[in-house]
Amino acid sequence: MNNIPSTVSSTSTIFNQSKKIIFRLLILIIWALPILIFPQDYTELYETMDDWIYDKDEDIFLEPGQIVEWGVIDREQSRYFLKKYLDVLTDMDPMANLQIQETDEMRVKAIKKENGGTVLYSVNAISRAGALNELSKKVLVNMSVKDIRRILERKYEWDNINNLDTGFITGDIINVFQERNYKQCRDAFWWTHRRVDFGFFPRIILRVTPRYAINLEFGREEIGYPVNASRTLNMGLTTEVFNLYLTVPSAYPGISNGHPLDGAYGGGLKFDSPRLGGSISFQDLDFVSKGDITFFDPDHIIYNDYSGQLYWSFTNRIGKPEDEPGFGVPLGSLRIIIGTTLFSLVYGYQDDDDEFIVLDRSQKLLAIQGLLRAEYTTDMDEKFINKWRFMSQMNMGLTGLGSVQFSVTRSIIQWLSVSASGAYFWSGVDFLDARLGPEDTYRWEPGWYFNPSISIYF
Amino acid sequence: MKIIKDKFRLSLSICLLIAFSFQSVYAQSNTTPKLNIDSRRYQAWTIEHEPYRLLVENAIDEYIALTETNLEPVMPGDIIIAIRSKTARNELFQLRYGQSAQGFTVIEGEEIKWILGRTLLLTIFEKDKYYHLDSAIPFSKRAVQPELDYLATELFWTKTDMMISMDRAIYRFGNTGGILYEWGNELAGRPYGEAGYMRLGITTPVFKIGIQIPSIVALTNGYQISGIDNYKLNGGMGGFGAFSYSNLYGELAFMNNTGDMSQDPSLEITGDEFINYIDFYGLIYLNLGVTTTRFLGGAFQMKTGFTFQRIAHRQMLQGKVESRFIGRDGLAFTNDGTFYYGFFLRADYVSKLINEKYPRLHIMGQISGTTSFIAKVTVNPTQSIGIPFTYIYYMEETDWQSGQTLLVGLSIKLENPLD
Repeated sequence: MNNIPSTVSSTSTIFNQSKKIIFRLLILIIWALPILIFPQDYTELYETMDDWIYDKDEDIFLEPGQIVEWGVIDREQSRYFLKKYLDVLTDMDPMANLQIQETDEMRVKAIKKENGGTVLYSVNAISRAGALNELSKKVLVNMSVKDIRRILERKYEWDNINNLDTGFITGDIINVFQERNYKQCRDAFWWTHRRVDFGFFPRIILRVTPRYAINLEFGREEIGYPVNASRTLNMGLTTEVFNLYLTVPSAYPGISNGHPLDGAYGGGLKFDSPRLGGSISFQDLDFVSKGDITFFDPDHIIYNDYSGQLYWSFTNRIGKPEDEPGFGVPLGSLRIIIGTTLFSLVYGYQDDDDEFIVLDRSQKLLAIQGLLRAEYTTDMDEKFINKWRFMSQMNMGLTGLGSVQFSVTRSIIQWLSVSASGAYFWSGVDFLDARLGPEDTYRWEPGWYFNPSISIYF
Repeated sequence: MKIIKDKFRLSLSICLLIAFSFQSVYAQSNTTPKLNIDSRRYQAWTIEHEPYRLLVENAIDEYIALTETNLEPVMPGDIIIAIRSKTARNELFQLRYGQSAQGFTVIEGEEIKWILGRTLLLTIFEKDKYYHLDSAIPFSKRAVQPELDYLATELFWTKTDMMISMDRAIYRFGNTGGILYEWGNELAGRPYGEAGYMRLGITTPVFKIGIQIPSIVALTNGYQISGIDNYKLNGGMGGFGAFSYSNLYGELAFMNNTGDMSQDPSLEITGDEFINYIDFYGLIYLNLGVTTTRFLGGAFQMKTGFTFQRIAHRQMLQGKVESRFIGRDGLAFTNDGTFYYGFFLRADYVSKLINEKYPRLHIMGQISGTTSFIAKVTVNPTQSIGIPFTYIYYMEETDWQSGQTLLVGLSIKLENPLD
């Protein structure tokens, strides 16, 4: 009888022990699960310390794209790594001359491996005095893999290195951050980076939302007839990409000596992007009832019934910083626009019944013009204003008709600027005028125009 | 037995606790990123300035090479969206890259700093200093809208390297531009040869611009169900421009023909006594929010807007094109051009995309002012081939349009095998 409890007891003990073993195994499996599910790829790539550090003698023909370099901004990371390095160095050679300090700034250079992953190429320490010291490979290979990997993985705050700063980077690296993109320059002329740019008057721009703006602009600057050289007012919607507008006849007072383009009702669409841009527009005197438009000279009416334009542009950095000695334009962006314009001019007169009678149209060759435009703006200062803006444009036709125009704007204070613009046409156009005789012509002389103005910003 | 049970429970609890603890710790590095964010608190934009875009691509490539990560490299057709909080200074909230159809990879938190580095991060943050386009994608309730993305893209641009169809062809050079050819104008209610003109120009994902010339394509691609054969439009020389920005679409075109029209083959059909062409045309519409995904298994979208056009009436007299004030019926026009305007309404339906790339079926209905009603069904047997069937009903019988027409087209989409 006594055997029964002892058998039960021993069975229970075995059972308990088995359970404990099973539970412990279970715990072990749970702990090991992540390792089993997520194997460490790096263990396949890196077996020895030599695999972590690049042998510079092995291959001197490194492609520029293989090299990755950066400066360590996270001071805790660099301090930690340099301390570990110095510990290993002093272990290896207690008498070593310690040129490198824990407080030095660290710069890391790595090589991308063809089969994936990276290896450490070199580590440099820059002292507070600016001395550049490369960390010894002999010491680095004696450091722990964990420390090398930590610095190589770049999971800390870092920054790009300017090639000119260091001098130790191979390859021809262009500091792309100094490259000018067209945005600042474009914004200054296309619309505004302000909420409101209220000019008296060549243009008014109200950015209703950051994406959309309402704009009013006198003249047809893009085809060479700015401000009061064209008796038109464009009113429309402007975005980052396009400007859709209605054209209405208008007159802008200014100093001039010439016969401006007359205005009619119409519309247009302009586009702009970093490289490509263009516009199309049309005007038609038939849109309105007779006598609705006041012409500059009802006996000699010249208006632009359609135009199309296509251009290519690029933007460069120009000028020198203000604190640099010597002469030169202030640091800014220069955008060059090269393109072609196709447009048509209609010549006619208003008869006694206020009807517009067409007498002639511009010839096909006259309708094609080359476009060359330069826009310059200084970099925005700490008050977010471009102190200077300058624009010059030349429209030149194959038959000699052409114009040159300019505008200069100087921001006086944060909310006020003064500007001046002008245009000069070096040639006129002869239109057939049947009223004078079958082959007789009327010579249209566009002349010159000048406009001072002021703008306020919000 | 109770003790055994208690021990068993205790051990099980400990195991579960350890397992859950581990999982929660492990999960910290993979927290689900916030996909739909509040537009009142964040700003989002796509990086369009090519050098900066390349820098971001390089930075992500470098990070993938340096670190064990599940991030995918940026593909050439991907858009890169940067998001910043309106309250935070000098740091990005998220960086996303990918396509609306396939979804986006989202990077946020410290990882953005690790990937971009300080200077690039600050450069990307200062969006007002480089070319960008504001994006509404992070604010939409659906992060992935493949069918709607297909509709938005295919009407204006293309995702394939080359798209050739009878009424429209685009040869892309890169992601930012391409060469465009159009025959007729579907949005104007006159596709293929019905418009009398064709277009050549350049196109980008947001705008297109070019010239209009008389249609030189003498191809019969359909059947006139009713109406008079020679009541057609002629062509002319002119220009066009159109934009597709955010939910807004706009188009403007003009044509003129005051000179020699001998190059216009349509004169053989219409005769030179009754020349009619569209001398200007405009359209503006809004992609309405009435968009539903999973509508009959696909997506449905409405577009409403306003359109106008003027038909110029001309005649050839002694080899010169002159104004005409008399119609074919002998009645006088008020002017040498007839102006039309009206509402534009279009509804598109696409079936569920196959492999998130193309729909088997695309059905469209459109009313273009007082011009026409169009119904179009496009069947795509494969990703590369599409066959559109178009039915046109002209609402008004005039000298230049009449009756009903059924037209068939063909569309081929090609990918560059070297990419």
